[in-house]
Amino acid sequence: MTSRKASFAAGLVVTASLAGIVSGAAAQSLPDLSGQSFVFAGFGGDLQSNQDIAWLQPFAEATGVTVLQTDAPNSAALATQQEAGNVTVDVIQIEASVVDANCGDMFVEVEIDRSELNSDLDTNACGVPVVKFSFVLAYNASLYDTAPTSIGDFFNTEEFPGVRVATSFANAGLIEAALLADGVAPSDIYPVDLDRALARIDASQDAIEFRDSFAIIQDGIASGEFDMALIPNGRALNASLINPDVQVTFGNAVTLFDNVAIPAGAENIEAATAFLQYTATHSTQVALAERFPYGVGTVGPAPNLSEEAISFFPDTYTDQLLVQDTDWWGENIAEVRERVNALFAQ
Amino acid sequence: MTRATDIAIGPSAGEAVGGSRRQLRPWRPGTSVMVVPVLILLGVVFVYPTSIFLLRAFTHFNPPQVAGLDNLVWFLGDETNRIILVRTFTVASMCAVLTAIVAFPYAYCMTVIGPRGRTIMLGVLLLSMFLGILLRNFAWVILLQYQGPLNDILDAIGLDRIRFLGTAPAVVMGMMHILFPFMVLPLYSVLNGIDRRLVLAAQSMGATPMRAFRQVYLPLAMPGIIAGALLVFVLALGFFITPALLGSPRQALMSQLMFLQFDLQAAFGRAGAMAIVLLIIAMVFVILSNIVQRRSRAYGDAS
Repeated sequence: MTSRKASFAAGLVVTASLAGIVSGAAAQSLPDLSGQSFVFAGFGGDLQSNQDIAWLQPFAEATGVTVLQTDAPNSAALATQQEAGNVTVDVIQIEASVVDANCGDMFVEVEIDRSELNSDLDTNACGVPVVKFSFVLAYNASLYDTAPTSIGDFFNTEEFPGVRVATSFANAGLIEAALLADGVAPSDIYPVDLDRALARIDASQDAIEFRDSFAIIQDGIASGEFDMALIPNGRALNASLINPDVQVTFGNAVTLFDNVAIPAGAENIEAATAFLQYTATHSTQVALAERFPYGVGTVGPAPNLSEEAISFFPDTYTDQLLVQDTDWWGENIAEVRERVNALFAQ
Repeated sequence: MTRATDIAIGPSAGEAVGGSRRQLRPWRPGTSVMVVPVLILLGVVFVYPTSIFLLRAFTHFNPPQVAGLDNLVWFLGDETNRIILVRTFTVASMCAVLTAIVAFPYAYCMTVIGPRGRTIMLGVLLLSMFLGILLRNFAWVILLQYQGPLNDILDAIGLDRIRFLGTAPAVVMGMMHILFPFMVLPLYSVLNGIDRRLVLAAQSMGATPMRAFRQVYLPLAMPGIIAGALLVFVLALGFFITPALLGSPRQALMSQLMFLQFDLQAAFGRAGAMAIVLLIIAMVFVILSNIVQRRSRAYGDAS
């Protein structure tokens, strides 16, 4: 946790209003925010560096605002900051279910134009849905004559032998995959029958390797250490760039999305609200999707993707996806974590 | 020098190891002023935040815990938590024992090798300490992975490949590497102070080399072994990155459980209760080792 804090401090990088690439989105009328600043907290890595180019730099360019960047505190760290009356971030990227469950107390309600947002994903008055992603079943295609068609095949060791790997994170597709494997129809997954899902996982525990980090899993599926994995689609693409045998199925892939939202206690509400409005437009979200294959939370013409990225892009498979019930997860994630932890420890 | 004088020097050298170390320098009023900045620093950056964190065990509750000692009762009453506590304890003990076994020859070599060799051995040790902890852990991931060099060697000599990653042995190996300098340095400083002529003396009086080592050298080395092993054990109790990268959630240790409760569940009280339990265990071992060390010193003096 110390190292987390260190990277939190070290991650505080001034993007400032440096010359950025002005995307089409910047052409809309944006307020003059010169002299103001706000802190954007994302998930780091490739995603945030692409957000910097596609979102932050054009926005800073168009409005004159100074954007500072850091790593997103999770809900616990945010709660601590709010408890201490010292909120250090103004716009935070966080799982949609967290904003759904805490809109109005932990997060500020914003008045923005939501007309371009996808109404299925626009589930609360605080956040803007962004970065739609899927937990796909990635597999080594050189091993199987017939390709798996559903993430439920993760548990089908007879037809698809080989070493499979998943994370221990409670909400990373494993629960839903277990129910699918157990014969539950995709439309009946929610509300989740947790006992049934855990029993299915328990029955296959010895066939599945578990790891604490997606980076290790991405590396392992690319190197051939693992034959099958449940991972976010962007990581699957990165693994396939190293090892072309890595293929994915989006069949029933658990699909969820993040929100950008303003935490209660934030100091730069005006600039942060203007930025949320900026992200609530299709052109802004498309600018990111064209750089990194995560889907958009808006409605409009499809982004232009490279052929490679298209087969790893959630919106290519809209009718196959299992869109996650964020309400159920928002209410139950704490219990799922405890139960999963207890299952693995024994 | 004749052998007789060697022997005559022996006992006083033994005292130097066991006895004079205990003598305190005369107290001067100036020195107490000099520790004030350190005390202030420790108070602000260590005592204050740690106390707040530990106090939360009694003030911060997530349902179903509501008040009083609920968090401690939750921790000790839950089977999952007890399994993880025992596993952490086992892994830390294994690290302490195995690191001591591996580090002893290294530290001993450092005492007998020439000054240049010693500098190199010390340099290698410090260099590995200076490399980032993440870097060292990822190096182990590469070494131990299924298609990695270690498995290539197993394959080349006709053995089956082994999935090391995700197992307790992989975690212990990675932890031993990181903890190795913490064992070698205190051990070396003690071994360096041992007069090796005592071993010769024992042999000249008829002891076999093994017996001379066991009855003369080892007791004199014991304070260093205990100090190093204790340091390794206490540090190992709190390891997070290594088990997260080399281990598996099915081999979770206390720090991973604390991460779950603190960082994911925002259950600060439960995490605080865990920290209290770990702190008590660490303190019990520090006290025990002090008692043992005092005894072995007494033994060193008597010999």
